[in-house]
Amino acid sequence: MKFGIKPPKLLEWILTRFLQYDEEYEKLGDFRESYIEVVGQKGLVAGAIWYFFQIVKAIPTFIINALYRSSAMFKNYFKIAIRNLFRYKTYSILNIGGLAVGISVFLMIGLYVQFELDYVRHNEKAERIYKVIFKDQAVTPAPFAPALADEFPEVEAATRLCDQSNVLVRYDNRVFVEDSWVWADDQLFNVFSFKLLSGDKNTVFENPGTVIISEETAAKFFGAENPVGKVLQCSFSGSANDMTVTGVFENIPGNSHIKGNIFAKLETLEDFGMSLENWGNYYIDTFFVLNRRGDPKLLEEKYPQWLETKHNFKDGSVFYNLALLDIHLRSSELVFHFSSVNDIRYIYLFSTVGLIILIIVFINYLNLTTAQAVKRTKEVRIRKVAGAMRFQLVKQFLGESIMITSISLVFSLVFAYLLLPMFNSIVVPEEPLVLSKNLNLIFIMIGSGLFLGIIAGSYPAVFISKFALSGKLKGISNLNTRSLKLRNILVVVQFAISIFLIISTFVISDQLHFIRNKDLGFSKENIVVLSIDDTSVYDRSQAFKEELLKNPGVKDVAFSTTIPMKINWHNTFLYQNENDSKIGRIPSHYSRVDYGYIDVFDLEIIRGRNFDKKLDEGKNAYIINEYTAKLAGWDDPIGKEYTRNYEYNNGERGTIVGVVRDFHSENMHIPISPVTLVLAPDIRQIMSIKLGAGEINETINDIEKVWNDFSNGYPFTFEFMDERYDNMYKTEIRMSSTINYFSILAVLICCLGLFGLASYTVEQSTKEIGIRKSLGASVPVIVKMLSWKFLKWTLAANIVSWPIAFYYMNKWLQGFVYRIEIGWGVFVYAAALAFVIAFLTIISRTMQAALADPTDSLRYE
Amino acid sequence: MKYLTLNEEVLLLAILRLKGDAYPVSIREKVIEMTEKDVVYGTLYNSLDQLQKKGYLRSEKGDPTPERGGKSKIYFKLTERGISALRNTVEFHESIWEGIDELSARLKKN
Repeated sequence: MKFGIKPPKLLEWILTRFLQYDEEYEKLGDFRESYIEVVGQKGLVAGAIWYFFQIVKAIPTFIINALYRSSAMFKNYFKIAIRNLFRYKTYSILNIGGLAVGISVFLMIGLYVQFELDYVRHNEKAERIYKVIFKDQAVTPAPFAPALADEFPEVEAATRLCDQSNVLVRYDNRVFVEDSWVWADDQLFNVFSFKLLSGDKNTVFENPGTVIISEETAAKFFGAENPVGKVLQCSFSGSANDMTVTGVFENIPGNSHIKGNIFAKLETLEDFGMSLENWGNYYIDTFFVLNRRGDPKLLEEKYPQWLETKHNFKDGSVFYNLALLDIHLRSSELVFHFSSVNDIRYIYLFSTVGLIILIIVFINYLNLTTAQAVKRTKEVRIRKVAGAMRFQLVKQFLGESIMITSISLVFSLVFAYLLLPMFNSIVVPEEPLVLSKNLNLIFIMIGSGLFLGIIAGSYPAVFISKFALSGKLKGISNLNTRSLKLRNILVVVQFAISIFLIISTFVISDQLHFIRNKDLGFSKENIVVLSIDDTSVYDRSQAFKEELLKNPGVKDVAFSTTIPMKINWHNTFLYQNENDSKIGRIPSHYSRVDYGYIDVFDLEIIRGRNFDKKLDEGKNAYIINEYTAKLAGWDDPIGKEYTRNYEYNNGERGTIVGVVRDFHSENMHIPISPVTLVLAPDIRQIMSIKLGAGEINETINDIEKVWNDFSNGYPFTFEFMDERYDNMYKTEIRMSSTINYFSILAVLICCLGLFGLASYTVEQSTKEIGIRKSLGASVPVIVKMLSWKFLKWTLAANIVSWPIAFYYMNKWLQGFVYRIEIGWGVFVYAAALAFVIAFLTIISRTMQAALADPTDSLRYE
Repeated sequence: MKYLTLNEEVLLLAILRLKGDAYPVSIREKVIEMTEKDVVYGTLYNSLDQLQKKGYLRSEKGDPTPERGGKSKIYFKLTERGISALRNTVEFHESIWEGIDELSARLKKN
C-alpha cells in the first residue's frame, strides 16, 4: 500500500465542510483509507470519482445531523425569545400590536388599490378595447359604432350602449324599479366578455323587445323559475313595452366599467320613435375592439376626413379614442361616463398613505428593538464567553425578529379580517373587498412582512453582536449613544411623516369645505328634485304641478332637462358675428327649461329679463350666461339672433332675452363654461320643487300623496338638491374621510413608538433621576428634562415636513380650478397638534419617573 | 423489550465478527461482504451514531496511522446492552419461526 497517495485536496476540503461537528476529522481518515484502496484497485480517476460520490451520497445524512445538533441551540434561542417576550410585556405589545395594525392597514389599502387597478381587466380583449370620446363627453352619435366597424378593417367589432335608470319593471303583480338598465346591440358579446348561463350569444338579441338579465336579477324577479321566455312589462320615461327574457348572464364583477343588471336590445328604442341613424344626437356609448395590428392614434387621425366624406359630418376632429384601461382611473375630466369613475390621483394618495403607515410602523419596530437590544448586553456577553460565534448571535437576533414579525403577521391577518367591513364602509368600493379573493396579495404581504422583519432585525443583530467582550464591562453608554443617534433620526422621520399627513388632512378638508360652500351662483337649499319617469305623471304633468302648488309648503315648481349644477347636455349654437357678419359657433352646454326655472334656482339675471309666458309663447327664446356673451363678443346680447343647431337638426332660430350671472354648471374641477338656457314650456323630464315655509317632512309626505294619486305604479323617489350636490364630490369626500382616519392612525402609531422610547429612556435614567432628586431637583424640572429630549425632535420634524407638505398639497390643489390658498395657520395647527400629542404621550411616563421616590430608584441596583 | 431492525442487526453482527478490529473502514467492508451491497459512509456514520446513542455500542479512539493522513481510528465495541439486544433478537426470531420447519425448508430451497 502506497502511503504517499492522497485524495484530491478539493474533495477533502468539501468533506470537512460537512464534518463541522467532527472536531478531529477521524472520519476524514476513514475516507482516506478507503480511497487509497480504491485507487490501488482501479486507479486515480476512479478513486476521485468514488470519493466524490461518497460525499454526494453522504450529504442527506450530514444535513440531518447538522439540523439535529443545531436544533438544540435553536431550542435555547426560542426559549430565551419567548421569555423576553413575556418579560418586557409593554414592548412586546407595542411591537407586535404596532406591526400588526400597520401591516393590516397596508393589506387593506393594497386590496383596494389592486381592486381599482384591476378594473375592466376581466375582459379578454381589454387591451384592445377603446371608447370613442366626443370632446369632453364620453358619448357619440348613434350611427358611429356600426359605421366604424363596417368601414375600417382594423376595427374588429364595435358596440353601442346606452344606459337608462328608473325603469319600472312588472312581472306577475310584482313591481321593481331597475336603475341599472342598459340598451345594447348584439355586438356587445364581440367586444366585452360576457358569460351567458342560458341563451345563445348569436340569437339572444335577434328580435327587438328582448333582454338578457343577470343571475342576481333573475333570482330577484323569478326566484327558482326559469327566466328564459318570460315576459316583463317595462315602462321607460314616457313609453312602455313588453320585453322577453332570452338569456341569463353571469353576474358582472364589481370592477367592470360596463355595469348593468339588464341588457336590452338597443334597436327596441326605434319602436319608441328614437332614431339610431341620427348623427346629431349624442347619447350612445361607442366601444370598439381594434385588431392586433390596429393603432388607435392612426385611426383617430382618419376620423375628420372619413366623417366628412362618408357621413357629411364636419369637424370630426373632436372625436378621439380612449383606451378602456384608462377610463376608470384616467378620464375623470370627461362627463357622461357609462359608470362612475375614480381618479388615479386618489389611488396614488391611497398607496402613499398605506406606505407611510408601513414606514412608521417599521421605524417603531426598529427603534424599539434597538433600544431593547441594549438591555441584553449581559446575555450577549455571557453567550460570547460561552463561545458563541458572532454569526450565531446575528442568527439568534434575526431569528427573534422573524419570530416577532411572524406573530404580527398572524395578528395582522386577523385584524384585516375583522376590520375589512369597517374599511369597506369608509372607502365604499364598488364591491366589498374580501381577503380570500386576493390570495396573491396575502402572500406578497407575508413575504414582505418577513423581509421587513429581517431588515429591521438585522440592524440590532449586527449592532449587538459587535459588543466586545473586553472594554468596559458596564460600558453600555457609548453603544447607547450610537444607537441613540439613529433612533433620534428615525423619530424625526416618523414625526415628519405624521405632520405631513396632518397638514394634508387639513388642506384636503379645507378645500372640500371650500367647494361645498362656495357661492355657486344658484341656490340649492330646500329644493327637491324628482325625475318624472312615470308615464301617467308625465302625461298629466301640468295638472300635477298645479296640484303641488296648492300646498302652502311648496313655493315654486320648475321643469327642465337638467338642474343647474349638472348642465351637461351639449350642442353648438350659431350666431351672427358682429364684425364680419359671418356665422359664429359656440359649443355650449344647455338645458331645456320652463318659465319657472330661473326663479326656483335663484339665478341672477344681469341683463334683459326672465322668460315670460306672454312675450315668449311659441317662440324660441334663449338666456345665456355672461361667459357665452363674452365668447360671442356681445356687449349687449339682448335681442340678438341665436340658433340651437347642428348640421343635422333643423335649427331652432330664436332670440336672446336675458343674460344670467355665471354659475357653476358643473363640478369645481371644471371652469365656468358657456351655458344656454333654452325655453321649452313643454319640457317635463325633471321637476324641481322649491320648498317654502312649513315642516319639510310634512311637505314631502304631501308631495308623495299627490304623486301616488297621479302615478301609474312608479314609486315616489326624490332627492334633495344639496345632497345631490354633495354626491358629486362623493369620491373626494370619501377619500378625505379615509385620509382623516388613516392620519389619525398614523399619528397614534407614532405615539406608540414614542411611548415605548420614552419608557425606555425613563428606565435607563432611573438612577440619574434619583440622584438629581436627592440633590434637590423639583418634579417639573425633571419632567422638563426628560420630555424635552423628545419634544425637540418633534419640532425638528416640523421643519422637515413643512416644505414637503406645502409642495405636495399645492400640487394636489392644482387639480381644482377653484381652490384655496394654503395659509400659515395650517402649519401652525399641525405643529401644535403634533407637539401636544407627543407631549401627552410621554408626560405619563416622565411624570411617573419624576414622582418616584429617589430611595427606590437608588436602591435599584 | 425492543428488537433490533435488520440493519442494526447486520451492523452489530459485523462489529462482533470483527472482534477487536471494528472501525468504520473495516465495518464497511464487512457489511459489504455480508450483504453484498455497497454502503455509503454517510449512512454508516449515522447508524453507528444512533446505535451509540441507544447504548448498544461504545467507541474508543485508536492510534493515528500514516495511511489515514495522521487521523486516529475510532474503534467500536458492543456493550452489554448491545449483546443482550442481539440475543433478544435471536430469541425473538426463533420464537416466531418455531414450528414452521416445513415452511422454512421450502423457503430455503427457493
